[in-house]
Amino acid sequence: MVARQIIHIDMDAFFAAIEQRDNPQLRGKPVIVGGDPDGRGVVSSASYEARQYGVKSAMPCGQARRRCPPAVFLRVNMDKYKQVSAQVMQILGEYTPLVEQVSVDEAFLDVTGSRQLFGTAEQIATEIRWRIKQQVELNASVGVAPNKFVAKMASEKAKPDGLVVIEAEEVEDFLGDLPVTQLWGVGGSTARRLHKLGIDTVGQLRQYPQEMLVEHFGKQGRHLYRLARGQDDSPVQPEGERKSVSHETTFAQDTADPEVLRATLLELSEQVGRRLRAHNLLGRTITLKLRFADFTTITRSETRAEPMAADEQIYTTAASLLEKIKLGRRKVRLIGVGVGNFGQSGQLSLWDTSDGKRPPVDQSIDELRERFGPDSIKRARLIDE
Amino acid sequence: MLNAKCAQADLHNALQIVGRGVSGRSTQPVQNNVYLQAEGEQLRLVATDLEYISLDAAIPAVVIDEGNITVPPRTLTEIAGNLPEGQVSLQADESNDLAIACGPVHYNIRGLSADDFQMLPPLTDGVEFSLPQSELSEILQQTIFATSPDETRPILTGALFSLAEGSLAIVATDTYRLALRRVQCPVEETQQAIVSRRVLAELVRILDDESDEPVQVAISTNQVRFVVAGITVRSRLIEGEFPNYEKVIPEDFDKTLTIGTEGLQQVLRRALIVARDDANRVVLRSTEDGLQVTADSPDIGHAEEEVPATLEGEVVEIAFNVQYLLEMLEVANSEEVVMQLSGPLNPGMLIPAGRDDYTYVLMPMQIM
Repeated sequence: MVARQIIHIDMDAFFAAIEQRDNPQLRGKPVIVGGDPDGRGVVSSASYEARQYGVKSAMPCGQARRRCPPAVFLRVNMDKYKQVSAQVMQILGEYTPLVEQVSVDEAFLDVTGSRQLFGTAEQIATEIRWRIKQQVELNASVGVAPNKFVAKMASEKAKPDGLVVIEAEEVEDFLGDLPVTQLWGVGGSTARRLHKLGIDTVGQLRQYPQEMLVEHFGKQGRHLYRLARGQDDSPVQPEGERKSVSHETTFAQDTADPEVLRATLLELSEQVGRRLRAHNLLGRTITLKLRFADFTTITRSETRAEPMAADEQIYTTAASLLEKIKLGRRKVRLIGVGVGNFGQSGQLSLWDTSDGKRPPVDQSIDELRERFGPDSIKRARLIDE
Repeated sequence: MLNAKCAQADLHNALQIVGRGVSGRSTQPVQNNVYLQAEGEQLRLVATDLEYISLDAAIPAVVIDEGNITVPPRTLTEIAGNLPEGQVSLQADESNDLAIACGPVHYNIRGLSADDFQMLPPLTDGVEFSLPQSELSEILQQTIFATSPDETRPILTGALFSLAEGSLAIVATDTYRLALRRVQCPVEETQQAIVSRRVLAELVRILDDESDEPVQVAISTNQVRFVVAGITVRSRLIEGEFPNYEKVIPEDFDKTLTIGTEGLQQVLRRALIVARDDANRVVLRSTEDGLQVTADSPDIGHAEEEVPATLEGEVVEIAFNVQYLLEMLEVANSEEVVMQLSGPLNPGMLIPAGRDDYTYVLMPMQIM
């Protein structure tokens, strides 16, 4: 197999950077985009100036204001960010059809087959960064590597506004000093168990033979063994081929607490819902995934007559699936939610939407209003009047 | 301090019913318990999630001292189920422990004070009527399956009880199909109430299909109450306005099919194996002397079968969600069903042959 050339592009402080671009007075100042600092909103995006004060995304806005009193707080203008995102994605699409948009500000490109047309991956990455600066007036950090996992690690390293290229023979050196906690799927409890074995960095992890890791970590051992060597075969999947959208998380500590499970499920449902809406997808099948402490994994799913993308619909369906599972004394190590079965079923409804069912988008708007205040989101028709 | 004696079988039965009213999710531990009260010549057991359901049972008891306590339902139910037959003694002490004794068996389980246990407020000013257990059971089974599982639209997760002009209509819909059952009800008042499916499903479990003993029903503006065989099921009503169901019941049809219920069920169950992969879609087409049922899936393949049917009127070609058909057929309680249709995108109607009190309206699927 020809060595693959994968590019990972991650826009720097995307929402905040767009606001600074559009309002010169905000440049050089700490800008925080998110919910109401007087309410219970959270930080969606913080400019690098704000990050110097210790502001991070997902932090409650109230806390962000305490850490960074001079910060300018702005509400999320998702329509605008989506437009900018589409401009960026259009640039990326000119280099290869193999573009996998991970979120509104992040994408993978497989440029293995683009070399003859556009040059090496490094040349393509440099050109993409330059074009995003010229045409969109924003900074992107870019990683180039033989696979998605290492490319993502590389773009992380490149932040802010940089480019990091990792050749196949450099992968092991590059990963060596990284803490194991940065590896995909390594949560707190695995990290603690690794620490007990004297493993804190990826380099140390690499010293362990696969059999030993499997002995200690079961199936996950093989995964660790591969990641430590920077091995990842997962393909770049363009949107059209995507069969489902899912998010999962490994608990820092295995848990059987239904409150914790439900709260995590809500968070994951919101992430899945956001991604579905960002990609204009609607799915009819909701899948709940649980992995127990002994690494047995179960999935349960429910298929609805009508597609859905609203967070709440995803959450309530996933929560009802969770409720039907008899946990007993089993502790949960990982929980995940996915939505698949995209497209319409062709099932007709007794009431048309005018007096029947609210379309899911309305429900999302309702939630935004609830979280960020009644003016946080408006129909385009109602703006500037 | 509660001190009473009752029969082991009574206690176990009551706990099995009442225990299902506990949500287990309350942040106040006492609400996750079952409430016991000894009073007069009864032991009363109550569990409620304070949101939608309250289950209340009274069993005969010899009351030595009146009093109350709350205990974890699962523990008490398991104990009651494993005690030898005979008389059980229940005795609470100041530290809220409950001593359970039955013959040589002794338990002492930790409870919580009943002082903080909250109950649903009493139902007042309700419209009251009664229905035989067997009839109410059939009515509920014929309707509640059509409620919606979508908790984001709470109204549709319940069934509408609509009293008007001496008749009770029970309606459930998830917007794709609608089940409507009518029954005579000698009540003057007009009253509407939406009752949670969860509560009605509990009620169906409690009701005896074979018994004609009356169930006392009371409906107020914010609560419903069912009383049968010493058990009281109460619920807050779901607030909101039920969609206008009368408007969507079609009246004009140009095709009428009469089909044997069991034969159709078998054919549809076999088609489901393939249809499952294509959003449960089956296509129905009329033939010379029957109805052809097909299902297609690009991944699985093709299923095809014919079921005898008599057709009056135009040729039929229409697609339905096979699950929606099967769910109705299971509760049709009739040897034959009548399917009335018009265009392939218009609502169809399914009724048990010879009955005019049960109507099932369902929207087709597009033929793809």
